[in-house]
Amino acid sequence: MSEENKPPGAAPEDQPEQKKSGAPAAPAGGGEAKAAQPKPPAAKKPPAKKLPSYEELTDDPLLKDLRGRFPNGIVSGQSFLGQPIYTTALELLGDVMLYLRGSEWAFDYLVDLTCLDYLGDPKRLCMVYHLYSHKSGRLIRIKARAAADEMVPSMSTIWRTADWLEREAFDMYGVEFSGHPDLRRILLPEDWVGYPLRKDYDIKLQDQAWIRKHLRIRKVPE
Amino acid sequence: MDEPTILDAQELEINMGPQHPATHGVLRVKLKLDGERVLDADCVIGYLHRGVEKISENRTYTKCLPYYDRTDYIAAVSNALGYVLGVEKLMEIEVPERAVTVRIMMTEFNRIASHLLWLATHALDIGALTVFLYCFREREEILKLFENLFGARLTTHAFRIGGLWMDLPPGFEEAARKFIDEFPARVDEYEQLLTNNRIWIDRTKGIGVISGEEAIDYGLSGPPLRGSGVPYDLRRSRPYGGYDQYEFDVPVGLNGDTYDRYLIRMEEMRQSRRIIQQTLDRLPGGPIRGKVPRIIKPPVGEYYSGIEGPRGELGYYIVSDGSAFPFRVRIRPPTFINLQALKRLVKGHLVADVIAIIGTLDVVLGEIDR
Amino acid sequence: MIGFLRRILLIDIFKGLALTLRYTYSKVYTEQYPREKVKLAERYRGAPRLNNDPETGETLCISCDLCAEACPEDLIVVSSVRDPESRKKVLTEYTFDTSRCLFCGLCQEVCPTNAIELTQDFELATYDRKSMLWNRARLEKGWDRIEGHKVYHK
Repeated sequence: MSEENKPPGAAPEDQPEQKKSGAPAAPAGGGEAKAAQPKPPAAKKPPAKKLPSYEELTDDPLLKDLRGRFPNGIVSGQSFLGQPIYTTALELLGDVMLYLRGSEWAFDYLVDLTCLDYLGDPKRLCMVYHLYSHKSGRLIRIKARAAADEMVPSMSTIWRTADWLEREAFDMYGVEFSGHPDLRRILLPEDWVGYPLRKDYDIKLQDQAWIRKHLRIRKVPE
Repeated sequence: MDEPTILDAQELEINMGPQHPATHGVLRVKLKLDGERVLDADCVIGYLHRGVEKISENRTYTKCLPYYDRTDYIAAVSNALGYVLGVEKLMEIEVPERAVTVRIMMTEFNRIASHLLWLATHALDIGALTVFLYCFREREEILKLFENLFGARLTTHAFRIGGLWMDLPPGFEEAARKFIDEFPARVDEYEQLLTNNRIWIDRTKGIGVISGEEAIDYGLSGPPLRGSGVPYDLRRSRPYGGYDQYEFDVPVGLNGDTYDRYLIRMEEMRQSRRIIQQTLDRLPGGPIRGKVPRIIKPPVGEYYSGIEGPRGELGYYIVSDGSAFPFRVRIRPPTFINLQALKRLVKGHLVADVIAIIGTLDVVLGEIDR
Repeated sequence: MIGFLRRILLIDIFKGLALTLRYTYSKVYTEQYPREKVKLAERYRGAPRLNNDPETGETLCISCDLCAEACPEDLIVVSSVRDPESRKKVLTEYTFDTSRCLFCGLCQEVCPTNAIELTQDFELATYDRKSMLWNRARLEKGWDRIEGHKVYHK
């Protein structure tokens, strides 16, 4: 077995650095300790043109409500280009989501569920949820940081949309969802090894053992 | 007596697809049947997975664009629009008025072309062959327009960040006007063949019924959601790319069945034609490309750009880390999420209706698998 | 009552049949492709071609490598040597891998001298993979003028 066959995530250090660094300045703050610091990217802006940047939400009723209800749950509330982002603690993510759906905010539509990988960060995975309310017409983004081996609460009981979307996140990032009814790979074959959208999975990496077994193609030596 | 054999089984599990002409690509549905009645369905997808999201992370912002044509290859123009709008927002690029207008015009042409293909194949699946031929005739006219403007028929590489590749070719406006003048009569023809056709009604009415509330719960978007009476059209609900300046109606259904979704798409074609009429009437002159830096390097940030594709809400969630390569481009695929409801929609129906329901969801496997 | 009659007498089905009958005697829309040559748009992006100066016959390519930079699939390889006298880059070889080409047109978009161009030829099928890798001679000649290549439409 060649080096290509290593399960990614096992040893991120010895992977060659790609064109861009694996861990960019994490925008939405991971964990409570990080969120308290000011954003590093906002400081080094060129003065010529004012570029869009993360702004702290100041007068947001939803943030106030959430902060009041979940004093330990909400890490930060920001907005970027007018799209509000609420970062929650992973432990209270399920409760916050249940509240957002059930309360008068009525975020009844899960637009999208995906994941980001900040390689090198202790909480490397960042769950991203886009919620929409058909009642008020608001679109918000919820984020929660998780370590690679942490369980993320499944949203499939709150929105049925989440079923396949979580399977996709599991398939591509290896996020384990607790409480998901049927967590298996969806796009890749079931016995594939590795999570391709993680940053330490090189674009040319393939599960060679799988390919040899099922397609009977041997890799052409370069 | 002896052990039960396959002949004794009440429930039968069969595969529909992946090589099945009515699954519109390589969709495999594992059906659990009791006689002819469907008890359960499980979709197996991923046969067309090419990792477009991974590819995008390894290409510059400009180079990503041709790949998105190949996700939803029926609606390549819409795909391009969603992405360029997102990047332009991140970069704060001003797009000239002419480019904005042409973009809307071409996206609506694409919507018509996509709905025509849907109608053609959906009717073909159910058994109406004639409609297929007529729809492809009109679709051909649109593809010719694409070829003249973009230089390709299917994988158009339609828009560039900041505007368009080239201006409209000579004779384009006349050809477009000719098409939209003839088009309403053509839609009437399709309707003459189908809308009151007894066979069509019997095959589609009351098939795959879903209520509005449930449709929202399943995250449906586009015609499947509007067919259940939820007036959610991103061109109205969250206007993007200049759509707020155009007049059009958002048709919604009453019953949430296959027949309603059919009527909605027919009406949407007429509404798209109305939008194209308005774009042609107001088409301003001027440049077609705004000021774009040579190297596209958006600042650190993220943006979700959702548009109303022909199949539903098509979203691009673009995360930038300040480099020339996107940190993440997440495509919110409308049919991936719509297909999820197949399991629920086919329950209790007959095998022949499964085909009608797959057709009414208007799946494109290139987008589902990405 | 009217609805019932319509249903019994299959009025709507006959209406549809009348429409198809009308089209039976109308103009034929289909193009007889292999027998008829397809007329493609001027902007159509098909087989690549490396253009020469029509007057001098020299290549227009200045070996600036922009096309290779712009290509999403990295399939263009431009090799050149620097002329010691004029300090100009001289093109030695240019390869274009059509098997991986997306036909997106980004190479011709960035080309400052219009040397690389995607033409209207589209019949690119070959019998082996090797011949999908085009070298400079082939690119300059153009696809349909290569020896041994059978143009399908006559």
